[in-house]
Amino acid sequence: MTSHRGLSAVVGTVFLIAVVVGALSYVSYSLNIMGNFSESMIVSESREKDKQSEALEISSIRSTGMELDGVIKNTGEIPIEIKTIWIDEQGSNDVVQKFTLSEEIAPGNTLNIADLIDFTMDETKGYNLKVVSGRGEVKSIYVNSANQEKLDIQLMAIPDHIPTDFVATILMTVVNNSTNNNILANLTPSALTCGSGCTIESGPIPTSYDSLESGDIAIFRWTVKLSGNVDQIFDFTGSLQNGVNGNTDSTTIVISEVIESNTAGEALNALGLGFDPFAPDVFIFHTETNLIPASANYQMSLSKPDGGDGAVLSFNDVSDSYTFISANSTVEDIVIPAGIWDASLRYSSAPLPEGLSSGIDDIWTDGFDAGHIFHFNENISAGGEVEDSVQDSTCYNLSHTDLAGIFGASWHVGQGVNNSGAYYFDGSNDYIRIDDSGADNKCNRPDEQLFSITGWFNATDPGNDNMMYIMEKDDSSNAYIEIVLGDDSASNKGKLYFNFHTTASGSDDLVSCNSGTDTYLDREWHHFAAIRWDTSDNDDCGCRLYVDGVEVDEQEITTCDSQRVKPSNDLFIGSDSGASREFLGMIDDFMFFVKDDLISSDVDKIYHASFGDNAHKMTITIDETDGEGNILDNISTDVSYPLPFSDSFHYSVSDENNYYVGGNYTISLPQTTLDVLTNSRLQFTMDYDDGLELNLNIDDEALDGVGSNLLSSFLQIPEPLEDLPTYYVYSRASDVDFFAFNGDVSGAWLTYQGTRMVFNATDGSGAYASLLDTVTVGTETSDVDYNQDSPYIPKNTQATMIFHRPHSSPNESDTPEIPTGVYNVNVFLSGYNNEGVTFVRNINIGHVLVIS
Amino acid sequence: MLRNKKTNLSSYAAGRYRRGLASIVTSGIILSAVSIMGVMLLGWSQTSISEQKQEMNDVYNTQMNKINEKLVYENIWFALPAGLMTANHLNVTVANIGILGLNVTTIQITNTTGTNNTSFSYHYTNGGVVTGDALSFNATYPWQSTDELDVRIFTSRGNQFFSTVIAP
Repeated sequence: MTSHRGLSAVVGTVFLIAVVVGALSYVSYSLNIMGNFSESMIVSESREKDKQSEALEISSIRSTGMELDGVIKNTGEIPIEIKTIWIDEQGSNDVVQKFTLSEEIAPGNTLNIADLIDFTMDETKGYNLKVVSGRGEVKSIYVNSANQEKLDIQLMAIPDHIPTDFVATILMTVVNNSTNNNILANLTPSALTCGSGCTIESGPIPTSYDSLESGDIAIFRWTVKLSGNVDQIFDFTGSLQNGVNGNTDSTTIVISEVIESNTAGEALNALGLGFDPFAPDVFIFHTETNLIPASANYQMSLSKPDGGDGAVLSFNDVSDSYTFISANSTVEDIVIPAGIWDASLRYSSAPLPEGLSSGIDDIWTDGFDAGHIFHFNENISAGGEVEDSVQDSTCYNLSHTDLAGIFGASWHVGQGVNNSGAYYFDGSNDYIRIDDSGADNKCNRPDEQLFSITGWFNATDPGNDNMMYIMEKDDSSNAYIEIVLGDDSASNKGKLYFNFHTTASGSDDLVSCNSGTDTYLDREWHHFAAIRWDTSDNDDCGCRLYVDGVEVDEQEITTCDSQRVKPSNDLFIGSDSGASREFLGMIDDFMFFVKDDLISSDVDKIYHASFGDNAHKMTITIDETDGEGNILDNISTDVSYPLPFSDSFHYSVSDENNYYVGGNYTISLPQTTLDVLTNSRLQFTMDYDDGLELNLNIDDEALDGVGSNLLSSFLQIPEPLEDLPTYYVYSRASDVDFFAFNGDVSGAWLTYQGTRMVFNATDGSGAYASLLDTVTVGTETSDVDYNQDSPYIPKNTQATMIFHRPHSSPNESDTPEIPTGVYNVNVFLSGYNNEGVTFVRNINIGHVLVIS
Repeated sequence: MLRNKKTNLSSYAAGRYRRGLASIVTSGIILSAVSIMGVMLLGWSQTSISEQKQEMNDVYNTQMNKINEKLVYENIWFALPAGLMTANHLNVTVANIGILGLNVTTIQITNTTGTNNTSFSYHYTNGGVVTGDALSFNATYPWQSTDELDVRIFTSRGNQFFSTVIAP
């Protein structure tokens, strides 16, 4: 029985173990499943949280030339992938477009819809735009057309009663009261109905709204001039193009009698104080800084250049920025019609880029001893003398022989590097010869231990294996320098070689660098830099050759012994050697550095510099500011606008016409209005971005556009409908000249009583007034006093009025009393017209600088 | 007597030997039986647990896949008869934003406008859509302008996705 009990125990234990193992295995698996479930739930929750963190916004919906545009912004906390954009045409069942995309937007970033899709809107239809993200976020926005539903349109006339021949303003407001918070796209007013006797002088301003957010108000403005009989009613009806039929509003203006005498004479406008404008639409950049806000650097005004030799403004660093600002409008709104704005800039370009090794720029600051530059940016006739041409940026006006000049090579505009000019060599006796006689050779004969030659070539396969000379200079003693393609062998055809051979003092050393396996008969432009270097003790010397900014070879010899390379014959670009070795192709921007060995960084800078288009890159900004210089509206901004190379260093600075040829900035802009209520000004700003140094010449009297070919730097705008404001300066040592123009339909006389000019010091230090002295109309001049009125001023006629010097107690004394300083000046005109209506007219001249 | 004694002794000894053998045999039989039963029990229990594990795994995967199935309505637009579609119809585009591919089996469209509660179900055999992709269906339905329609999509895993639209 003892053994049975033991056996039972064993059996029981086995069972127990089996049961426990089985149970534990099951429980363990169940827990594992639970764990997986929990993990899945956590992942699922994480994805849900991601989805909740996802948010996007569609804004700035507009039509750019009827192309749908707008901005999608990721306003959430995680990146969003835009998968689909749907565009449904509202009210049409079958017009649906789907755009499948895969565009990521980082949090806070935006995407332009026009960059994603190309969709042309129909201005008569509305659309539902729906954006779907990769996580399933769907955002919709409705874009309505004016014809979708009636809008709240109101038309107002200000004033609603005017005398005949006066102007009034018609305002049309449109409220976007669409349902669904829809955006309205392309809101354009219909032409204002304006019957007989009504003239629309301007408007609508603006011509349209690209888009109008829900609840926003669009305001359109017209200026109308009405001519009619008293009590005549003019009806105006305003509506929107493609608006819902009948969605209009109307208003009226009634012609009334002149009740107040001071409403006549409105058309008497100031032409300003005595100053001499160049043209009514040309702002000349001046050096004067008075009467400008602190945010600007210089005046730009209508007056002619008066700055003597002017000033030169250097643009050579991204911190270089200059702002020119006009006088502020003080009389009326000034409408500048849509059209071309052109800034004609008188500048010269630095002939070399900044940052070259010390002494390298001697090539132009002291070219007579140090070097020679040929940009080939202008043509000279065959046989012309290259030293005397604009081809030569340095070493001008040197003596020469008749053998020097252009022979056979033909000049081509816009065919050179960066669209500059360049010479073409036809492979048969075409060359440019540079005289070695006299002092000329100092410019281009590399007879120092150190020298460098750079240039651009565009070579064509000559059809044989002969070498082609890009440049050569030799003499009868077999000393020579040459830059050639090939070496007369088929195996080396098209390789670039730089060879020089010294013969002085018994040495007979040939140094040669070449481009290895690279060949250049590919009709593409390539830049080379051939450098003769030397050690300080002159024992060792050698050559280095760069192609397209990269060093391709360097050679050294140890038998230099201070030997210079002094070939004495003339220098040839191309060759006159015959033997079918003349260059076939184009050559541009040849430079000789007589005493310098360029280092790698120098070569890189010269290689990347442009001596044609894009020589300078500037950001040019045109703004409307208020009277204090605070920007009200950015009219235009061009970033990195390219300005061409202005090669002027052939000339002396005193030859401004050629020294500051410069270039133009041209842009087409919509209509702009300078608002009199904010005393608006125009502001023109230039900021340096990149490129060669630009030296802008301003206010140079020698560049008057009359005696010289060019006019000092200026900004020309479309001729404004009203007179532009300008800066006035009055010398208190003389009487005050004032010009007025009678643009009224009636002629007028001015009377002594009530006609005054008032100077009010802007610092509050005092006020002064002038009495009217004489009025000249045409050739008739008349004193004006209490016994005599002015001559008759017919309509559309200018009158010159001379006021006595201003005094605190106005009188006719010629003794100056008014202190120098800045004054706000008003002119009060009193008179009557030929219909017997009297008037008193107040014209604000604006700020005037009184000088001694 | 001595013989008898021997005999008696012998008999006694033989009886004792039989009882010992029987005990060993019995123990062996019991041990064998117990071992066999134990092995059978273990085998049965392991098989049973494996089956339950597999069943549990299947249920778990099925439910998790169902939970992870996500569909979003990208767009539903109404179309007039055109091409092969000879009656008014709806175009329903859905995107699979879940982590699994899914299979749309049915689109049910129910008109909930007023008393008109007609319902149409359309069955699809090619409604597979991989994750991140979208699928468009045309469903014929005699919709009228301003009809309010419930659109319900059923998937092969038994999920339903619902949206409401109003005909233009």
